[in-house]
Amino acid sequence: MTDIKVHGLPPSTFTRTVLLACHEKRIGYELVPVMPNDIAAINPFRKIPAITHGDLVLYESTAILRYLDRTFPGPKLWPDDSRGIALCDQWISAICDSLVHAALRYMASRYGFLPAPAEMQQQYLDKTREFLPIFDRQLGKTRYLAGEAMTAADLFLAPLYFYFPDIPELKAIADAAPNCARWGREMAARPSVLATEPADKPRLAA
Amino acid sequence: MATIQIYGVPPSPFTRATRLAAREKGVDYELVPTRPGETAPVNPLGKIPMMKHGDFTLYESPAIVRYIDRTFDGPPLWPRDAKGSALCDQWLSVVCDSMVQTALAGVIAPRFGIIPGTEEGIQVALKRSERVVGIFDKHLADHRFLAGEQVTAADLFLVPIFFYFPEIAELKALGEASPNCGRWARDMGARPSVKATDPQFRGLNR
Repeated sequence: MTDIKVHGLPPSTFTRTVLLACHEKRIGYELVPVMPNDIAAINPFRKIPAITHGDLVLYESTAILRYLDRTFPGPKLWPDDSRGIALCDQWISAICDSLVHAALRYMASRYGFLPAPAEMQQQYLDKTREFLPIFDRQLGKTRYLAGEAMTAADLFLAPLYFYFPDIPELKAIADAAPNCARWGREMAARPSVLATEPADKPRLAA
Repeated sequence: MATIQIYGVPPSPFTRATRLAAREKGVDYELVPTRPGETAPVNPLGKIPMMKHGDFTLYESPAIVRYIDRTFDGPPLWPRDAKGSALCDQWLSVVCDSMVQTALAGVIAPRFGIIPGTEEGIQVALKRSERVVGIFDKHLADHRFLAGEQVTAADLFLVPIFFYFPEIAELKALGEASPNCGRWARDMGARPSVKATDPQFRGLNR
């Protein structure tokens, strides 16, 4: 039975985060392929992903993950204790704010989705080189971002991180982050990650 | 000694969101004047605000506001039901993403002299701001506050940004052309928390 509909595209990192959450919680879903420009009827801000669940329409992936975690049974995506929850929230926010605006923008410019002037591209790359080591240090201290168990924070980092090897400049940054690599190998072995591997990965712009 | 310490400066919109949350909850806080960069190495991202509660340190304002809501008594900052809570998360995320990336980072910050920006870039961001603010205005036509009939965390994140609009001619005009945002701002402006945290800031140039 299909519990929810996920409106988005597999190569979209935030779409994949929602799909990962569904797999981890074993929520049945139907993926409705939609491009950001065609989603206005569901999300006026024209971003993917969005979900529909009964009469509820919900967008913004952090809101979606929290809703799925709260509404459906299955393994919890947030820790149980107040401080653990807060640290999980903190890492999600650090990814969605700092890392996304560096690494994801760099990827989008290299893939030609969101062209940026060379100077801007360089800034994105420099910021990525500054930010990834912060995650690497954390993953040197704890097995996953928010502690010893996998949480929603890891589901936000994974889709982004798994694009690093596809772009030489980002691969070099990832290669210098051994703890991220160890974490990446553990994440890559999860059935949820294997099941959501995008079939059509974008190609580098000439 | 105050119950919590908030590290930041009054003009910072995200610092103000955490202060608004503390005041709405009735939590006694001390503002420790801290400029961006000065939070490192505790916050490796170097951003403000940061919060301390006893021996617990937390950064990223959405995580801080959620922690304050969960940890202390006082009026809840999120609706209690799953759908209401999810919609509050959604609007909070839209503010922190779409509104921040257009009006705050694209117009307010460069016009205030906080970050460099070209006039051409500001004009592009203004166009985008118009679209984003239009969606908020439409939403606030049917809802007293962003997530329903009560003030929630989502409103506390919008206040610090929207209340800078009158300081910049084009955003002032945009605000005045958005009657439902205007009505919402008058409702919010009457709250003691909003009055007490007015930064009295008009940019570094003036």
